[in-house]
Amino acid sequence: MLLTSIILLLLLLALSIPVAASLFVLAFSLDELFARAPLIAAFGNQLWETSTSFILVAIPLFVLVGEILQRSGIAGKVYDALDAWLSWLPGGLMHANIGTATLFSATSGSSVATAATVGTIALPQAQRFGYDERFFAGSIAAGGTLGILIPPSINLIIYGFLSKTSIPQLFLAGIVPGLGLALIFMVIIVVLCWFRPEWGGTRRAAAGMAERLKKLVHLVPVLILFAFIIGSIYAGWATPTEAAAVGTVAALAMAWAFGGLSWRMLRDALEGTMRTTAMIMLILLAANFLNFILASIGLTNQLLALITDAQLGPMGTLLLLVAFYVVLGFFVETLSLMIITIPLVTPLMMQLGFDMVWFGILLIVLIEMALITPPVGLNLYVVQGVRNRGTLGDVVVGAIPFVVAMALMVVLLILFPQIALFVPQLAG
Amino acid sequence: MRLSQSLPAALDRALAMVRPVSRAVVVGGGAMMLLSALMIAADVLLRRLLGVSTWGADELSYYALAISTSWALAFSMLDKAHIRISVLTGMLGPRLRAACDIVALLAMGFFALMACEAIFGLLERSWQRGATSITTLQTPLWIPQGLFLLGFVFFALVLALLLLRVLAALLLERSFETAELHGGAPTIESETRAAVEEAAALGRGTR
Repeated sequence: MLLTSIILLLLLLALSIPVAASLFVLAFSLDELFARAPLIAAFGNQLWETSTSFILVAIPLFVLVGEILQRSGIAGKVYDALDAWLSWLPGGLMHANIGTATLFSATSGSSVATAATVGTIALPQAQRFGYDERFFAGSIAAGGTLGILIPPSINLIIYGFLSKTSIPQLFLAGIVPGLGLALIFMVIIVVLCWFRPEWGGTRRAAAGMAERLKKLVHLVPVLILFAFIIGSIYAGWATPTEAAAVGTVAALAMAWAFGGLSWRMLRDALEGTMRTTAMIMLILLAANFLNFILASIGLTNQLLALITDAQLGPMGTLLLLVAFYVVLGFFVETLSLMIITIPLVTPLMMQLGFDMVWFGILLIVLIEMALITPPVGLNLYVVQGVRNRGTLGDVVVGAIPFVVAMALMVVLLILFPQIALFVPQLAG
Repeated sequence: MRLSQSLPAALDRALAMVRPVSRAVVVGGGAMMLLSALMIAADVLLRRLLGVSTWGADELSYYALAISTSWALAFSMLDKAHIRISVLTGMLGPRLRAACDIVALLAMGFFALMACEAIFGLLERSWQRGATSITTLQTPLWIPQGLFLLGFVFFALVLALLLLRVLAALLLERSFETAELHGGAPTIESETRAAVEEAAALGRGTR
């Protein structure tokens, strides 16, 4: 039964059948083959229940916040301000790349959009100031991945929904690893540019304090939005969906204040939001139905028994799983990889006694790594697309130091789970 | 005009009519979500600051989620936003790749039709029993469920149209290119180009 399912799933995906349809066809076939009573009878209810989950309302709303901010022209101003604050460090503008990506990740959930936005602003500067273009491009691709780890994150909402883990706790758990990873990125840039100053481009005079303070005004709105979303969830003042709703209103107000709000912009933002939402929701609908079928026909239990029999122990299983994600991450689109594996992997990890909030964060870091490893690392392609000269290989090479940083974060999370868990525990 | 020309042309006209409709319902659904955001925000602020009790903004917002999602399915399909993993099929020749595209459309169509049938069953039961939500709003469930069903029906129709267009391209026009245009998987290049163009357009607009 287990083998049939896995072979069938791989076959469906390999034929390039849309992921949502693959999951549904798999669920339908397993139901036909193994269920005692036809479970398809529950399909209508399943569709309706999943589609009308209040927590999932947070997905379009957070996508919308990101779309509005991305279209409001705030990114350019944030980059400019961070340039004034951070470019005195060895590595110069690359810190502004990471910083802008971090701030934008904090308010939107999309890695690709973040990489494209920061890339468009930053890449022309790389040529102007003589940076090592490979390393510079790598920093943008890597910075873009922070979007799915630093809350609010669409990926964390999806993980929480499918694995029935508290989404507020996941959000809180993502803060320290997310900011920590951004910090490790910056340390790596400083260290490498210390030894190889030619990678860091022309050193420019540091901006004066007066200029910095003047530009701070561009950072404040985004910081307030981030602080509000996280603060209200931390204090238990609002659910993620409610925080997203207030965030949407705040983002509209900011776009208006920055002069970027128009009917056309709003229409484009709504269109982009629903395009993404429909894609995610259709996969979620199929995945949640598959989840139900897998549990009903006893396949989840069969997998658990199999792993228990193998006597790998919790740590052995975990390491095997990490290896599995690293390998699959090379080939499978990241969102699909996450959604497809959660129904099988999370019951297993729970059985082995791992904390589900912690595992969610670990999983996201592994997924981030997949975003900047070839041949399917989408962020690499986006940065190369914006760069429009040289080869994709340059970006791949430039991203290597950051892949190492992510691997380091994976090790740290396994050795010290508290990195992820102390903030949620603090909040109670 | 011969069938080999008139049928593809008719299908193209049909698709040209469907596209703006799909776009309009997507923006309509998006507006519903925006309205939901405003209602939830007002709700949460009133509740927290003034202690006014809630009145069902959450319920309306999750109906809006279901409806706007189902309405956006067709647009996402026409826009090739539904994820396909084409690492392996990208290496095939045009003939086999076209076969995979047809299988992909059929699988998506099967999913859509099964969903239509299942939701119709749900709607029928709600209608016959006069089922309402167990909340203060007591929404008659056939209303949101009916709108939810409409989106899936539209999705299924668009899938049928795309399938016919791909078949017409292959059998009548003998053009793999046209077939690929309508039914092919988005390539990494095309996806990247879209993201880059969008970011560049935004960059120009702000400077």
